[in-house]
Amino acid sequence: MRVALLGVMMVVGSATAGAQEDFSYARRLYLDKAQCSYCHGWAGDGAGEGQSNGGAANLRQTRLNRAQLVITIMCGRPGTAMPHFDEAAYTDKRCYGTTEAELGKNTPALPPGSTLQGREAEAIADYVLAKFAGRGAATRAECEETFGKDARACSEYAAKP
Amino acid sequence: MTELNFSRRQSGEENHDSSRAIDSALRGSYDPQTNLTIWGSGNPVPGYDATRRPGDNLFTASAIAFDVANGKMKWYFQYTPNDSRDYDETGTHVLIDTKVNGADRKIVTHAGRNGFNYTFDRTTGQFLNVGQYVAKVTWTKGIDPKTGKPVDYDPARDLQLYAEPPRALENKGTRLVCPEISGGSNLWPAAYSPKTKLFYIPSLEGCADVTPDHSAHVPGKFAGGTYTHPDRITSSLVVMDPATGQQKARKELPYPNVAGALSTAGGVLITALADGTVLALDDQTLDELWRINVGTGFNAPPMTYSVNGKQYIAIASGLGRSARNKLTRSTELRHFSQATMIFVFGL
Repeated sequence: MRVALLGVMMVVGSATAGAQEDFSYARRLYLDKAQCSYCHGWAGDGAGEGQSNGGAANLRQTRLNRAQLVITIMCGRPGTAMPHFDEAAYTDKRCYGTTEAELGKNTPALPPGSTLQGREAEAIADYVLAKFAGRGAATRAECEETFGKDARACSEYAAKP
Repeated sequence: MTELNFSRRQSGEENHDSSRAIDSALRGSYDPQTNLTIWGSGNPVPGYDATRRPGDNLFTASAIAFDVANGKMKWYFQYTPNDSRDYDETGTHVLIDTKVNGADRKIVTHAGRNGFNYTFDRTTGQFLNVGQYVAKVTWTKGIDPKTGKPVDYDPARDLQLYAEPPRALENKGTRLVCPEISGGSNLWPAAYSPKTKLFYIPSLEGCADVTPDHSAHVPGKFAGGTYTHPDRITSSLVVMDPATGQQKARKELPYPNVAGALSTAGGVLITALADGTVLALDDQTLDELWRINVGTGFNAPPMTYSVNGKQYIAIASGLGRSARNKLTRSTELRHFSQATMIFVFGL
């Protein structure tokens, strides 16, 4: 019995250590610098602002891996509202082997936030995988983790999902 | 109080949102002379998908006058019945005392997000005149100068197509909409000058590809589809005569105006653009008197004040993300920086 209890405590201990990994830098990029949340929503569920372009992917259901997420962030998705965050995308063939001259009006646009460096896109990809991918509906705990305890915006989420 | 609820005809579909109340993003105007408060109302939702909400959807996209004494609605006018382009009309409704056809009138004028400027008698709500101020309008062939309604408005229809192709109502049917979904004018203020008796409208110029998505009306989302900007968004400064609905002058500008306009007694009109340019224009000719580019964009209106006899112009910088989203085709601004500052200039 003691041995079993010790095992449970060790699991809880490591889970707590994982939850405390610091995503504050990536969260600032996601919410503020890159403005991902404008279209994808703070919880990544695709519920962005009414004035945003709409139709943003639900990142909680994404099947992309880290490398695919980074490419999608840096190059956008041609023919959709997903912008490119690499400032030089489509000026040469670095993105999908194509250019603005070839894509015309299907060229992804500049983002509503700032463009990003590669390491920043990688941090956002890690954030998406750690905080959104594979999760169900957004919870109050996630909201309070994002906006702080007692944030007014979090009251609409059930305390327990 | 009058409680305004979203109206729709029964369509046989599940009744998602029939009790949704009308919202307004901005505050209304108050007129102490008539004790009325006049508000512009939001657009119906899902915004780009009209098929879920047949009918005019009163009292969306409307001007509504309330009697402050008892809260009752005194009059209303709906600008775009059954809108499906996000043309809310929550922008400023400006109260003016002026002569119309030689007679003193208390009017209210409004630069509609839908591309037209409308003027009413604010005491009765009587429609007086309308004029197009946006350079390119595709959603209607025009506004009836007698009724103020779009000439292609058909009250017998459940869904209004106006001048748009049938795919405008269809699932995934993309069409180009001008003015783009933000207008025209929007939440940034136009300016009336008592000196010139003219109305100065900072207007977006551009179009959007709008695509309804009939499956998109789910909790947390209310757009009912998507839009993209195939080309850059620019702006214009348009001078309208609110007494006649006539356009008197216009000046095309290379970047979006999401700031507003300010008229002064000295005949200098101040406005600002999303690329960081502040402009001083002659209020009669729109000739440029002065300009500066501060390197960060403007999303707040210019204001003016006086200290010890010296008059100043102040303006706050920093683009909100919807404002920044108007620059996504201005690729020369890919290095554009964002700073929240207050800039003050001597007039």
